[in-house]
Amino acid sequence: MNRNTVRLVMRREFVERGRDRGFAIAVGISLAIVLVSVLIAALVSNKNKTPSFDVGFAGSRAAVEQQIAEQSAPTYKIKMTSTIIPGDGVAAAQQQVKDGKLDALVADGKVYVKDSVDPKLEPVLAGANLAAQVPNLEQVQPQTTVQLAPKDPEAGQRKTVALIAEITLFSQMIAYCMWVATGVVEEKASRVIEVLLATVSPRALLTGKIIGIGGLGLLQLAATIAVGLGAGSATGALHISTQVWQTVAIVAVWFVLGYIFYASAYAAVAARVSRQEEMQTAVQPLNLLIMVPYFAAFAALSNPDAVWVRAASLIPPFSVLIQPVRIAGGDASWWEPVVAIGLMAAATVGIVLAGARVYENSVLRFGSKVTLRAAWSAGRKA
Amino acid sequence: MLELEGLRKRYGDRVALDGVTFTVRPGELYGFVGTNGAGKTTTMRITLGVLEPDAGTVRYRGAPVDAETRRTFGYMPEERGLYPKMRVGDQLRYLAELHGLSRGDADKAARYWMERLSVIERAEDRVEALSLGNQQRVQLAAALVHHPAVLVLDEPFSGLDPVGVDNLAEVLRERAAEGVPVVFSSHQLELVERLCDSIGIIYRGRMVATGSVDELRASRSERVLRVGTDAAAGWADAVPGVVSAEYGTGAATTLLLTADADDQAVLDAARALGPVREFTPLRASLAELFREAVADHDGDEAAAGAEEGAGA
Repeated sequence: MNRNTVRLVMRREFVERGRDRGFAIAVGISLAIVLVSVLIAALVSNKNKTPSFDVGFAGSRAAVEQQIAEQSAPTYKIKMTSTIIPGDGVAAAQQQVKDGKLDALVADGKVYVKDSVDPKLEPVLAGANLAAQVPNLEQVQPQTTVQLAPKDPEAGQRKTVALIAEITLFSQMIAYCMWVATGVVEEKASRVIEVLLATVSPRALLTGKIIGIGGLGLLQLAATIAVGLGAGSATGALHISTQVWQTVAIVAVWFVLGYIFYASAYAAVAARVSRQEEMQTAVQPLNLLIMVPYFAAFAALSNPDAVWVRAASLIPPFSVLIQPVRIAGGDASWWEPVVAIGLMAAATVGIVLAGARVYENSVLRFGSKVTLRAAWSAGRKA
Repeated sequence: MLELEGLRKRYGDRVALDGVTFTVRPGELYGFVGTNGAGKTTTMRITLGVLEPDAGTVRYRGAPVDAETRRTFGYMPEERGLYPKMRVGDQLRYLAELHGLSRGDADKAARYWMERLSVIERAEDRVEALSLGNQQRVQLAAALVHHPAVLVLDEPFSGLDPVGVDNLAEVLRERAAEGVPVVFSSHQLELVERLCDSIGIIYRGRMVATGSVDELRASRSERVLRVGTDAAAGWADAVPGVVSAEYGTGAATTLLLTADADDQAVLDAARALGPVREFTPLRASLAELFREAVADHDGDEAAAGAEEGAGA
């Protein structure tokens, strides 16, 4: 296999496909999907955001109440901005409460509000009121919380990230594998294959095609990730942590492995038919082989520690779409992805060899679909 | 020099090639003719390495041809094929590079051939937007773009208008004049007869005749003679060497003679019966030679094929 011809084939695939309007549309759609999901995530996370209140303190106990309220606010998961209101400012402050510029005004045991005290703010103010009346303030111990089974504070974000990773992986893999299949059939249907094979070996042609189209796939993946992370951190839907970068790396690795695996299979299947219409039916079983683990991944997302999920996340080729959910969910032990990637890499080598063989044996046989047996055993001798 | 020796190929039970052997010398235009399904395309595909033979070798300059040598060959398959959505110029540059030209040389060569075959103004168009005739020219350019050391063209003239035929003939002669062995197949036998230095006739996977047209004529088993005479029908039936005679209405007799017949004896017999106005040995056309060669091998070939099928 001549390395130079592989490079030439690769370049052609990359340039010609990249110029294709289909590529621009695919990239546009995937970026739009990412932007929309980031925006939705941003809206959802804004709802759960820590509420913040503007409170004014007036009266004789104002300073103490303010101090205690400020101290206890984080415990009650609120943010509080407070000001001391001097005696002659009380009337103005009341007006501010009425206008909604101030959430509450505390003065000598009274809480002035527009209509009612926000239930999240109420315990803070009530506590401050009580504590301020205790003669010996130093004896007042703030209440502390002991977490017996703490929830991962980033669990929600992890799920979102995993979901986006899952959708990206799936749509990228299926789209680029279909491109490989279409490309293979295009060469057969247009009969340019014979001109090519007079100078390029079938293996070089297949290798160049898979790498070239895969390069475009990686480009789109990079664009999607860049836009997703950019928009996510800009809208506050995402805070960029190590875990996010880990997920990005995982998606990239699984895309490369999964793409090579499936693309070889798609190419082999496509080489057996001579027309695009037949190709659609021929790749149907492979589509299922991607879609089933994809839908299973959604189920896995809500219960990532189930035994079936652990098992499926190790078995190629299901691991491609199941394993990322486990890691992004933060539930996998360190050895699981290592074993999953190892197994998948081995399976990929096997499928590449088998795919190349079928491709080589089928690509010059025109007319009716080449039987699997002929494609496997014939050799270009027949 | 391109040598094909003992090429054998079978598809399942069907024997496609049964020991095809011939040689194309440098600078020679070689016409490869045969009935449909005789094995022309299979032979060419094997020559280009697109197919592997079951047995036999292809040699160029005395050495067996490998992938590296084949990159210098030019090939035009019977089934025309180009990337429909690729631009003409890009396509030719790409093919030239695949055949080992540098980027700069590929560009120069693509331009040269697009100009030469008058498709330069379509360089930026997709192939699918071109007329069939222009696609054919691009296909030809694709076979020539890397200055091939050997040219193998499967039915290059089919689908060309008379001007296109002349252009292509000129290009092929020019390549041959530069010392390139050129093989092409065609069903247009007059064209082959006019163009080719050597001819090979393939029938049912076997070469049944090879050589120049004159050599083929000399080797025939029968000759045809036309005699203009007023003698009554049947006059030549008894003349030695006459296989059959056809007495036309226009006072001319067409005689089929054995190869070793003495035509002077025929002349004498005719003159004895009256004046002889015409005495012309008819030169067989390639089409006639072809039919004879095929007919000669019709009987024994079927038997050999059956034997071959049972033996191997």
